[in-house]
Amino acid sequence: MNSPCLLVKNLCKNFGGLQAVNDLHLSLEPGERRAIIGPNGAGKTTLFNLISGTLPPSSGKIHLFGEDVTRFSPHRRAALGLARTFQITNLFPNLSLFENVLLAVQALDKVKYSMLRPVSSYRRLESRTYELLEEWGLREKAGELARNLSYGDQRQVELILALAGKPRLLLLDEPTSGLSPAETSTVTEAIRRLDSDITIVLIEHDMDVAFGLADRVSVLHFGSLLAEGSVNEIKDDPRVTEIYLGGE
Amino acid sequence: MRPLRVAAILILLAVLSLFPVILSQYYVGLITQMMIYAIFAMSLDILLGYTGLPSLGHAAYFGVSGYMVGLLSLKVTKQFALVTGSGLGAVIAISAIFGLMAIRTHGAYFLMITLALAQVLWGVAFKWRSLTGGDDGLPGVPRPSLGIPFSLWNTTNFYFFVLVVFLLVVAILSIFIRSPVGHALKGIRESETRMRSLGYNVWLYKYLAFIIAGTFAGIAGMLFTYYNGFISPADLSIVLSAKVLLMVILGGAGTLIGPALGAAVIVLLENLISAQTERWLLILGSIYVAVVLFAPAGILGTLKAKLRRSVNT
Repeated sequence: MNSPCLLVKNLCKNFGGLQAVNDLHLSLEPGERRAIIGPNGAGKTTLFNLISGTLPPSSGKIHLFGEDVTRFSPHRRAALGLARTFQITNLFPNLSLFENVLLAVQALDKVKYSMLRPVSSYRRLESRTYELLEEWGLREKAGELARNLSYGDQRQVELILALAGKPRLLLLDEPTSGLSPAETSTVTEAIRRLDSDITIVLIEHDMDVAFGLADRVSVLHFGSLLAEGSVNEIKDDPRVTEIYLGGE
Repeated sequence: MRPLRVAAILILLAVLSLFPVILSQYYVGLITQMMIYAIFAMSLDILLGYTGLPSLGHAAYFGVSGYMVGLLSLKVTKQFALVTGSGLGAVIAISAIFGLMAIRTHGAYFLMITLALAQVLWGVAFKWRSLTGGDDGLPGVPRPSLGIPFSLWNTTNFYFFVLVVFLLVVAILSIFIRSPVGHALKGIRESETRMRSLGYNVWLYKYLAFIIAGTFAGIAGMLFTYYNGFISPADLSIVLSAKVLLMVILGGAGTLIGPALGAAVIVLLENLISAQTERWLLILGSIYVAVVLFAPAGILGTLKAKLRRSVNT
């Protein structure tokens, strides 16, 4: 695989007069771990919405795994191997944890268009669902409604749903937001343990988490790329310190 | 759980097939009506309860196939397969066209556009006198001859005919809602954005649900036309759309049996109360207000919640 896993070229997104994303370039090698940091309103989540296809770009191109997907719908991008989590927990609140994960498991299976057989008759979906729940230590909560789970568990389910389809590129939108220090280290550890073939883009406000997980860091500021480099380069970059701490 | 459920189904079947023996013709007719409305209400629940799309124009699909059956039986042919086949074809075509327009919208807008589309059909039925008879409707629709030695003009025989269709519909729908597609519809009800990013073509699922819901409403509409021997613009009207919506909400949206229960209650009340007073709609409205205030999850939903609570404590 020579082509980059994710390639973003001249990407722009305007909301009326506001340029949320402005002429952005990004290129990720397969297996790379990239953190995207930047102050609030820098356009990080907008960038994720553009990559995953929930928002159409104003101009520019997005390539996934060497294919131009700029005009692809979100579900076609997912079928190529793209998965994401949401900054604001986005589960199926009135379905059980089991059903939540099951929906993610069947999402990229051919049977998702089957309507004349109960889903329980597809053993492989059920066993894969329990396998995932087992892996994350949530097996005994399988019957609980997603909305009754603790916030920490819900954030983990966000990750499980994204991982269920065995993605090649994973977009994580602040996976640790709102978690206690102990929960943060659990989630960080889980992300670190993920298969090293999975390419990960991570939005994170917690610098320890971002710098701990990433190989490279991109800094966004007012929708533009301010800096990009290895963790140490970014840590020492005076411009980055300036936008986070203000001018001296 | 499993053997208990089987036993419950067997008892229900036995009771349903005993009704014509123990009840008078009037009540056998009433239960026939209940089953027809139950099919109608269950079909709406596919949209409202499972997919989260509130339709206020579901009578359109009930009435379209009803008119098709009425027109064909009166003017062209009485052949059962041909008539019902055309009825189904008409309702699938109409839902496929209306669905294209309605599925683009959400929430209250979906409600308004389904209402508007249904009113278009109502207007056609009302104004096109030469074909539809206007507000006089189409009287004297004959019941079909199935080529079996039982005449469907007999109340008991027609009851069993409807019972068989009803049971088939319940069986098909209960598999459907447990199927991968049925689960996906529940997922769409809960979070469309999440479903999209998981890889589901949300539009296609909603469109599919819309056509399936329309088709089963059409089956109910055909049975109803045969049962009444009559179809009129009232069977396409907002009054009927609102009534079936109330059946679903009263019984419990998002359950299969709830809407059937709601249909039974409404049909029974309508017949009992309108024998006493002309103010039936006033009572219907009060029921609606009471359900929304005190049992927003419907009869079945409230019972389930009670049961869960008593098991937990």
